[in-house]
Amino acid sequence: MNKIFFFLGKGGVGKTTLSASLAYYLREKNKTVYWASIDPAHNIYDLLSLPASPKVQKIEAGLWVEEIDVDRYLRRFLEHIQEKAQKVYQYLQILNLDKMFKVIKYTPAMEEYACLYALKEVFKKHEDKDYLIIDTPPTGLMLRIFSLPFVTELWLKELRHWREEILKRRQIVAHIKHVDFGPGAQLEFSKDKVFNELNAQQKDMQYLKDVFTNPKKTFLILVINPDKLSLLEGKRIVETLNKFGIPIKIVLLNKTGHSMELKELNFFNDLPQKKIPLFEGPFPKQVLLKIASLWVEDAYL
Amino acid sequence: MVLKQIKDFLSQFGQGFKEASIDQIQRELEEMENAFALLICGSLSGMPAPPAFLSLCLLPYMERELKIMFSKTIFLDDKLAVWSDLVEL
Repeated sequence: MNKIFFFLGKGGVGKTTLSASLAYYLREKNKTVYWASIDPAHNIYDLLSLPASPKVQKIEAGLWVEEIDVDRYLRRFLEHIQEKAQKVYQYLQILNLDKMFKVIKYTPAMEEYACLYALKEVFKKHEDKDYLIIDTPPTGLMLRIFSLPFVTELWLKELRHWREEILKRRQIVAHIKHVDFGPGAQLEFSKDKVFNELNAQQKDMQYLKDVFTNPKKTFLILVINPDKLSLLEGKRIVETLNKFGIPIKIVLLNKTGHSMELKELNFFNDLPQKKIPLFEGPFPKQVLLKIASLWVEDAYL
Repeated sequence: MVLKQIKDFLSQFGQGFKEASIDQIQRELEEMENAFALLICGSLSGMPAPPAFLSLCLLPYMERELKIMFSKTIFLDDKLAVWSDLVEL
């Protein structure tokens, strides 16, 4: 079983730099690493001073990097649905699916789902790597991504139950009256496409929930700075994830050196903490390894 | 002969009761299918709605339910016709 590290925190606290430090540290230990960012404002390649690429790049032996193009996943998902829907509803001339799908792209929660869909694919595709390191998007988006499998599962449970009741009644009516329910309408649970789709979605959501809540597989690292706003946002992250049973493994108090007497820091007292001083860029490998030596412990790995 | 006629006569009663109860289940089924479609398309009608991607995933398989929903919506203001249909007038 490989391990997944998520770096969370307010924009600009140093998530990318610290995730880079872990990636290079693990390489020094001869581990294979996949390091990715799902932040729409990626900066992995900027940090590495390499030209950006939409594909997975092997930047050195055993280290793969990807700035995940969430839009591409969303486009692929919508195209897949459009293709299937067009086959069924081709007689509906008035339904202009092309135009409709351009709008659907901007529906609330679609971006979160695309990120989740991307994460699921990435977890499965890179199962062969020892470690997966994920640099996350801004807090609001990331918390919604983490909560999506839990919320969706509640809906799936209800819809599945409803569908079961519908199919039971269809079977009774068909058995006695030999009614034709029209094209595509099935009587058997195993043949009903709606029921199968609900089951498939439930399986996916369960898989993601298991990944997010498994403390032996997934490690959430909260990065904060000694400033009030970053600390308050960090507190919100811990509280929200606690509701879903997702624990924070360690808090990295990055860019220390200024005043450390903020009362908001007290909230994090019960969590394991490491302090990292401010490092000015650029960040060549040696600097990243030095940063890693300040916080990475073999106990985390 | 007479016995057979009585038996047939009584079995027709039984059949009639059976059909009446099945009609009831069939109407319930259509209402449930209508409600299922309404729920999936809830965001269009202001109801609590499941995540949009879930509705999209189910959309290609919802032909029958959507047809029922649209038909029920069209006849929503013509309850008299619906009731007449129910009592087979």
